[in-house]
Amino acid sequence: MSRRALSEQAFLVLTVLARAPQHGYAIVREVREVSDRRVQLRVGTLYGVLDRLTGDGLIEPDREEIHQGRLRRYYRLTTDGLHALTAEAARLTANAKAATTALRARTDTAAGLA
Amino acid sequence: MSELERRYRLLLRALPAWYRERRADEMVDAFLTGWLDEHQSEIDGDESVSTAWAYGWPGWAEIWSVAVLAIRTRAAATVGPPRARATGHAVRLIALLGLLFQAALGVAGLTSALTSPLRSYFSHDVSVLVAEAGELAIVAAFALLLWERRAPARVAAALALVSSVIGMVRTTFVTAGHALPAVVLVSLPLWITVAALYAGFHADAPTPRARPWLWAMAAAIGVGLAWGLVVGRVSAGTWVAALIGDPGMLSAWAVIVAGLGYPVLIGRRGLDPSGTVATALAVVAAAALPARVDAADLFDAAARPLLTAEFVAMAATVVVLAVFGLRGVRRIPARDQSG
Repeated sequence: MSRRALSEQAFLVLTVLARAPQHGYAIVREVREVSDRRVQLRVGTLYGVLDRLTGDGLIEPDREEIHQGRLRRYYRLTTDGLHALTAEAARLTANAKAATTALRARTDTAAGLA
Repeated sequence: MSELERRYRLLLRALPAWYRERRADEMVDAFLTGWLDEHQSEIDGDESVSTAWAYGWPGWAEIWSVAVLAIRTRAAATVGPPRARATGHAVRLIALLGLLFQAALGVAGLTSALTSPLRSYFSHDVSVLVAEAGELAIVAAFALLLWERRAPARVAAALALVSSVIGMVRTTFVTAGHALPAVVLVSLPLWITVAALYAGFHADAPTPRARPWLWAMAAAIGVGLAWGLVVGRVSAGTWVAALIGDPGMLSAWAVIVAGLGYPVLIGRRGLDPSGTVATALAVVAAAALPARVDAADLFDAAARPLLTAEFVAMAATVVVLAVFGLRGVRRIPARDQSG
């Protein structure tokens, strides 16, 4: 089965869940921190991402708690989720390395011309 | 329960019942915990923040995110109970069939305008040709959709809609031949098609198989071209003119052919058990009805009985397809069988 490419939001959610199982708002908060406040998930958006990741078997419910009279459900990474996050991180690292090499070569060329 | 929570729960009613049962409580928890977390430092000292907690509304960004989620879950693709997924499939079919239908009509209209004895009139009124050609952006939208370029596909569909609006304004205010409500109803199929494209082809939706749909588009363009060429040469007042006298009649014939073909080729063979194809065809056919009422003004009194028969046949087709669709929908479980 072919898997859809991970969106940035999905990648960040997996990254947060790689540390420990988390509930909805904790995921929102940690995604904001991990992305240096660049990605601010709204609740509707978060649950769209969680639905997709659950449907793809990359995350699953961990446990439920009652918080101030309301249900709080925690999610955790599955083995498939771990593999998907590892592969995506490797891909992004390779891209970043290629860009860094190209930029270094450009800087060296400019320094040689000066 | 604070007014903020009550209003957020009210907003969540945009989501389907099956989704609310699964998610509403945890969404409310996430929203309220986030709200308190953001305003914690101010909530005791600032009266306006306390008032917002007691009487406030969720922000526009939250409302928008829930609205998008509501569309995704109502026109579901992979997540959700069978009936929600069937609804999503029907919405995507409405978009694809509507795009084919609009492409055939657009090609027929443009070909007819360029080849009819009245082409000198059209050549003086470039806006007619621009509006007709602009609506062909629908073909680009169709191709982009099949090539998994959803954002450009939406832009192309919006362009077609803008062309249609320009055509509406021209018809209503420049030539002053029609009332605005009639003109809006005539473009109903395009509006429904574009709305179905936006709602149905969200991020979770699968990409349709390209090959069969590309053949279907080629056929639609071919039929539109042939129809436009014939219509442009038909002499007014003949029985042929009464049967195919304007490009829009292509829609009438397409609907009638669908109504005759579906029960024989698909319905009775059990090829559409969920009724989604019938439902999508019924919606596309129903949307084409107002345009045929409006077209009656183009013909003289002698052609009226034939036009009435054509309209009755179209309406009967819509009813037949809707019955097949409803029967199929009733067979699909509204909830997951696993609970």
